[in-house]
Amino acid sequence: MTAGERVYRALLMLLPHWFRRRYREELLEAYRLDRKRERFRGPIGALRFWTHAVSDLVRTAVRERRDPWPVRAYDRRGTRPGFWIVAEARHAARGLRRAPGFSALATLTLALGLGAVTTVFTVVDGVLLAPLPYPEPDELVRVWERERDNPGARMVAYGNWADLRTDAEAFDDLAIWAFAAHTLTGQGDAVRLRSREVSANFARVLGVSPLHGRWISEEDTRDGLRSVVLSHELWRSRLAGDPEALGRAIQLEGRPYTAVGVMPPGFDFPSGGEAWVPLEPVTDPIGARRWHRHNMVGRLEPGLDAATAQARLDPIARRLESAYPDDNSGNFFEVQPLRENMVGSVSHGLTILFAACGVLLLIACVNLASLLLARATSREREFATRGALGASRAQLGWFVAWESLFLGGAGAVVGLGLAAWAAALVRAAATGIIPRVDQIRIGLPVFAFAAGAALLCALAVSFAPLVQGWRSGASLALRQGRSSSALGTMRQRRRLVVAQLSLAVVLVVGAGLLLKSLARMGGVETGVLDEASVVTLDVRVPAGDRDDRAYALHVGELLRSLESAPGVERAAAVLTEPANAGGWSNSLTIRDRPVPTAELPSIGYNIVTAGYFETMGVALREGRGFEDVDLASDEDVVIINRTAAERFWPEESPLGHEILGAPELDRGWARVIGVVDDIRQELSEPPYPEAFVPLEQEPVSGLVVAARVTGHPDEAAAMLERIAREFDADMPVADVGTLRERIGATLSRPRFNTILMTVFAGVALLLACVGVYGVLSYTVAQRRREFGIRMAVGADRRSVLGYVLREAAAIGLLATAIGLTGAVALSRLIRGLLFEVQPMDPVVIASVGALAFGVAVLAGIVPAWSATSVDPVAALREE
Amino acid sequence: MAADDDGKLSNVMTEILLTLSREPLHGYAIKLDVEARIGDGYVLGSGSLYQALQRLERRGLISEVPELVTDDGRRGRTYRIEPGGTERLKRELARMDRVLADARRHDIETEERAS
Repeated sequence: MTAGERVYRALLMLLPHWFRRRYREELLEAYRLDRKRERFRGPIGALRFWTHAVSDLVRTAVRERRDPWPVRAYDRRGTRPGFWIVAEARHAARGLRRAPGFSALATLTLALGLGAVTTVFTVVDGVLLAPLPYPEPDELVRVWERERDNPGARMVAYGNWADLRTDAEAFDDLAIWAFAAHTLTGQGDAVRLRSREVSANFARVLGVSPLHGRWISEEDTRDGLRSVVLSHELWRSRLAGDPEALGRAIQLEGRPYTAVGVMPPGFDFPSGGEAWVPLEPVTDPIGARRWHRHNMVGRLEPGLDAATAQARLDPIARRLESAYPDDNSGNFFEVQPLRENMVGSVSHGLTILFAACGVLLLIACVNLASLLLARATSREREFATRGALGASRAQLGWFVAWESLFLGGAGAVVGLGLAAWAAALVRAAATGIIPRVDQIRIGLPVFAFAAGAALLCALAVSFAPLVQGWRSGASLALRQGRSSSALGTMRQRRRLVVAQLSLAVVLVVGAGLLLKSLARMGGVETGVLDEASVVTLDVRVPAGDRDDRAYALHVGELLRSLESAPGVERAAAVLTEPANAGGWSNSLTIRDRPVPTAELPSIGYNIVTAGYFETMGVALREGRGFEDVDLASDEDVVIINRTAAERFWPEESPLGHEILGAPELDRGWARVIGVVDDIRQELSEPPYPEAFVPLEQEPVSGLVVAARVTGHPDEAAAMLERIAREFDADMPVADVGTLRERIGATLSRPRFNTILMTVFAGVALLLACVGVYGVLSYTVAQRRREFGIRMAVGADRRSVLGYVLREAAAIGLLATAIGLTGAVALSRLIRGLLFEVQPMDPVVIASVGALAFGVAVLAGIVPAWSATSVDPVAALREE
Repeated sequence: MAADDDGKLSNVMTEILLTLSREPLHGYAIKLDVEARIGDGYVLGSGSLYQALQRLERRGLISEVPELVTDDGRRGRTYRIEPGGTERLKRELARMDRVLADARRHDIETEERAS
């Protein structure tokens, strides 16, 4: 070979390989013939030749790469553009059909991961992402009042709302409402409606209008007219959907209200509203600044965001501070996007769940990659053959990619089916736990998400087998038998298995922490003796024409009639039952201990009947309980809990002190007559100070009746409900059940998160277990010969068994170590969902470690057993 | 598949079709024939040649003759024109005719007539 030919050969490297492979010999032949020609002889000729040759080859190479069209030596059908890609697709599909076991396992693996992630996405999409069903929803905000020294937001005072409405230029308008409850009678059973007292501009601010009739007018609120707007559901169920019902009166709280409008179906703002009535203006000038009873929603001027609006409210807040120093000093306003307000409480939990099932999907992908890798190794010779026959890297790549794409497509279809089923379950289970759950549906975004995720997975999992396939395709020598790359694949697969088991460990730690936390919350001592023996019912005792004392006596009659039933030991009524988390509170004033109004401590404020503490089984620490003499006298009395006694009277007895007076509000002082043990007001918080006043002093009509029973609680509950309904047909009775059930219901959201997380972690662990099993069986299969020889030269079954199990243990140990490290690193993300459990809880971490290790070893048992059953003779005869 | 081929023909492709319309030839012979016809020291690069051959083949305008050994005994792929190729060449030549006629109608002298 001449030097010139060598240079020409090198220049041919410019050409794409498919072109070079086909025409190499011809091109070299042409070179040799060209150089013999007269015109290319001599130095000048040589210069001419090389100039032409270089420019020719460069131009050809560029053209060919710009418009590539690999010619397939082994398949002459590939003469249409794109044909070979389709051919590879057919090829891949055929291969998958021929391995139904592999295809089914791969599809199922991927479907589990995609199903989980799609289910959670469906919830995320409906609850967090879908826009609020109001026009220009991003302009809607909640406005709260805040005190400079107090971390909690509080509701808005009526007078401050009135000032904001006139002064706040950042807002188009602001509306307020108060949560209320009205008893509807005369339309079937008496029922307690979740009613909302609203300002007249409420519907206009939200941008909604009634389906029938009209909204509450300014006159309605100003003149205190009794008009009511009904939800579509209420109108249908109680007024038979009769359009003629508009303009007629319905009985609310025993008084006629004119039904003026019906809202469109689905409208229940704020959360679960059934009826909207005019808000009574607060006319008391002090109360207008002091009573923080209203929720405020505002519509921003177009183009403004919450932060800007808040900044513009600050000067108004300062002006109000100087105008009303008693009540507004230290007060400012906080603006929060309405969406954040509605779903903020669940977004943390959902984000964690979304991340968790993302990890699950990752594990599924790793499993799939591992399966594909094993498959690629077993087909190494096929790839090498095709490579030798001229299949290009692109062709082999497309082949592998098609295989993954088909599996991804099948996984997406099955996964979507799973998700549709699971989303229906979630929808049913999460009603009342997660806001906007009715928005959950499998729509276009969900399809797009599932398809995108499947595509991403398919691309991700095809990477390792792709490299593997290229390597074998490139090794032209069709080495017989097992190739060296099997070992490399082995290492790669082991790494993948360790990775997926580590990921599963992270999820299991998360689930373990949530489970422990849930158990902690369920095990919280509320302070009530045996909650399962206390039956509770929500009632609203109609006051009718009775005065305060007569009303209290009437409630007493109800309680006596309940107590007269067999098996009932004691009955009492209370405003806020234990662990309700939504009680009233008041500023604690103590006579002879003057404190500036703004610095008054807060105390829980509850209203009870005389037998309450006995019914709940709560001990009196000091003093005495309410007695008839208190109830008959004009002097106000109060009982406080132990926390209040210890916090406000650390050195002395609180008995005899007078508290809760507010001369400027015309409220008298109440004498402390007793101290009782704490009852938890919120499960997730330690008890806080609480004051109990008798119902006679402050008659309220919405009460929880509680009765301590001796017999079977369910039978007692049914009996008590019947007695209550017979006592007064116009009295609504709801939520009958034991106190334990009632408290359990408050755990529904943590339980929801925990159940989903546990399911994900379980599936993840299962997938990882399958992964470990797969890689170990594969090892055993690859080393049959080796095991055969070992056994032939006298190794006993135990040592072979031990060999494989050690392998499993090594994987388990490594994965546990990595996984636990990861879990610790990620633990702060989950902290917000935990209750009385540290993110690095040693018990959880130790048990998860043991579990993961155990699972790995367990997954190794079957392959280990099969290794011991290798027949040495048969193994040696193979190959 | 090629009878309705309407893709553009590069100059090299047209020349190759013209050469092959007389007889089947192997690659290098085609190159020499094209260079001779164009003359004037024109060099048809080997890369361009085989690329054009490949593309003509893909479009079904020419095809490889598998078993033919050239008269001088050298091994090499030999190509022959397909009916579709002849058809396409005729259309190309007709197009060139129209171009030429148009040029003459507008009194644009071609070099040949001027000389």
